[in-house]
Amino acid sequence: MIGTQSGIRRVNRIAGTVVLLALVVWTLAPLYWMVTTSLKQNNEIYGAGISLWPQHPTLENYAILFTKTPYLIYFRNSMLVSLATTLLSVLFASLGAYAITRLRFPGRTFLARGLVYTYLMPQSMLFIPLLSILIWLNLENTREGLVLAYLGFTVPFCTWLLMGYFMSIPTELDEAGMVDGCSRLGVLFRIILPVTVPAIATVAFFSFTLSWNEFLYASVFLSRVGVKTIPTGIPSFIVEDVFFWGPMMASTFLSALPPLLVYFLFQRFLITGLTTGAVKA
Amino acid sequence: MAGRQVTRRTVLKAGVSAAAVAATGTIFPPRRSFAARTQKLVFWMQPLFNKEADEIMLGQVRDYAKLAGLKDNELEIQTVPGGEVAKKLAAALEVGAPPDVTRMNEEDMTRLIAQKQFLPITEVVEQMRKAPGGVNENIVALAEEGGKYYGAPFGLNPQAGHARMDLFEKAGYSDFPDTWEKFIEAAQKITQPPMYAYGMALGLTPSDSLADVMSVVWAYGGALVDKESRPALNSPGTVKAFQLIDDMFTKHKIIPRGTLSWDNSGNNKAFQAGQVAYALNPPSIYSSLIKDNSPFLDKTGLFPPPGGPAGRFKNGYADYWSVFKQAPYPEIAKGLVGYLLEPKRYGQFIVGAQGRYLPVYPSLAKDPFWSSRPAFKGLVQIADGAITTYWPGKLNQALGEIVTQSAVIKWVQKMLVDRMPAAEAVGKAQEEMVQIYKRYGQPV
Repeated sequence: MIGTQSGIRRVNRIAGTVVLLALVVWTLAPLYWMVTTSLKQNNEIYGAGISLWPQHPTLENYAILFTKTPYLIYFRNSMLVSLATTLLSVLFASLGAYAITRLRFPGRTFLARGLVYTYLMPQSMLFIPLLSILIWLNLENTREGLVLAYLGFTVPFCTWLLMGYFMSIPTELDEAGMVDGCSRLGVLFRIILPVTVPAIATVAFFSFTLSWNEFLYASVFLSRVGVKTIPTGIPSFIVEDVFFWGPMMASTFLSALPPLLVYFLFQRFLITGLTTGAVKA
Repeated sequence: MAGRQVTRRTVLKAGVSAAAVAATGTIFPPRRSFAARTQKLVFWMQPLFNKEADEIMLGQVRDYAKLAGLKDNELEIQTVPGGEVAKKLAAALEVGAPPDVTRMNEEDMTRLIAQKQFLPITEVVEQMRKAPGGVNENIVALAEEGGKYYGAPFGLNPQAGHARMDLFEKAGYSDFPDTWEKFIEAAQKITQPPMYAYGMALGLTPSDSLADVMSVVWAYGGALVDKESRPALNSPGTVKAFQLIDDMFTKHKIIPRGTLSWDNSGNNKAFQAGQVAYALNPPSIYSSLIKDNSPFLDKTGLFPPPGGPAGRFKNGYADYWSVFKQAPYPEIAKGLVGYLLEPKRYGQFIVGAQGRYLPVYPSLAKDPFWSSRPAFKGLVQIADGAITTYWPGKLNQALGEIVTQSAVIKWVQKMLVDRMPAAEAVGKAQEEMVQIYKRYGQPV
């Protein structure tokens, strides 16, 4: 009987390992293909056979990227837009979530629900009205305009996410802080935010990756090389029916690094933040 | 003295604050003035990913702006990749802020002419006609509406039959077959899966599919429309051509099955990878072979597609410069188009583009560049007297939709996949064309 149970456990473990391995391959294969393609010469990319590893590895595609395209400008713009969006999202979402969870004011429930509904609005329905607003504000073709547009979908979601975390913190903490002389903002910044660092890390990561990868708004709102972001630069590697796969993959690979780096650095916080939210929200 | 303790938390706070200031400070400078949209000449640059050609074009635009007396902040060059144009243009038109000058393809230009979005640039076209040897009138005609021209041709894309002559020679054909019957004979000898003879584009993405199908249809006496541009697909010639396509696909199996899902780059990739021996495409395949120094470069010849009882037809399409009517300085915008198309200056760009486009001025095809490779000779021959896909009629809004909806190719697929008889597929395609025409209120 014991032998049978341990046999079942072994079979389960093996089956689990096989499934996990398959998932790992499924997840990593595109990344692997991206990296190897970026290291291949065009002749090999378009060769009759498929090579899993570059026959004659080359950094030529990276050289093209840095010398013949404004990739570094795109990179700088992506970084600035993503950082600004992240910082402003965290700030506004913290203030909003705290107000909704702690203060009593008319329309509070409506506002809380509205946040979710706002987030559900498809991006493709909003880009033309948003472009209109940006032109009216003279913010078309500027990074500021793009940040403003991104805040439109990061702030509602981050606020909604933070509300769950804030609700899990006992109000007695606020009251104790206020008894000791803290203002409402003081309570938020000195007490609530420090104890919700994992949640802040989660919303910051969400805002960063969303604005880093966003394509539709950036492609419609930005046209000048000096303000374009990486996702809007990638279509430049497609000219009508010709695809420049090598530089495109090099660009895609390099642009995948910052979110990966952020994730590795804040992995501990992120996992805590996500699981805490899952249980207490 | 009680010094303040520096903890990890205070360092982290200071770091985050510094990053916040740095990030927001850089993109939100304390003082910023925005030039009003109406004071600028906005030029949409569609890059070719060919540094030399792109720089020539940008240099010419900047030179013109200086000559026209525009200050640096009065010229705005916006880079818009070709695939993004439709989406960006839709948004820009919706909010009333299109560019002043941009490149257009035939279908978009026709649609926007009908929507009265452009300024007439007849004087530019008339100036082009005065160039020695004139201008390719077949393509100029497409930009005409009510006696005025709303587009000036910028580049000619001849549909060139790219053929791997080493494979045809091996099959016993020293010349590229001049009829579809001979082509099928040769193709059967060449085809050895996964290597196929004919990379016929048959996908539903608006692409080379229609040109590929029409190259067979014309050879058997069919056409998309008549001289009055009314739907005329349903004819014995078209039925015969559809049957031949079905035979090539189903009976002779000289076309790879995957072509049904190809996008616009499908035949390029297949030919460049040496997976097919023949593909009908603009010279972008050949210019990629040059750029990549492909082993197939010297083995590739460029020819008109094979012919049939009705003759052997050459086909091409063009891109155009157009000026939007919102342009704040209409004369300066029109002047820019004229400046870019001045034959000598234009010739520099065309040579810089390394064969991507053929010149719209026939005399420029005499430039030594066009005899620098044997295959270019074939390309120039195709361009000379090439008809448009809408021959013997003219592109209109309904036809534009028929192309973008792949309304004809859809029925070719029904025939190939669902085994619909050729005559029925042609009839259904004609019916769909008529419906689209009626929707636009155009005579059928």
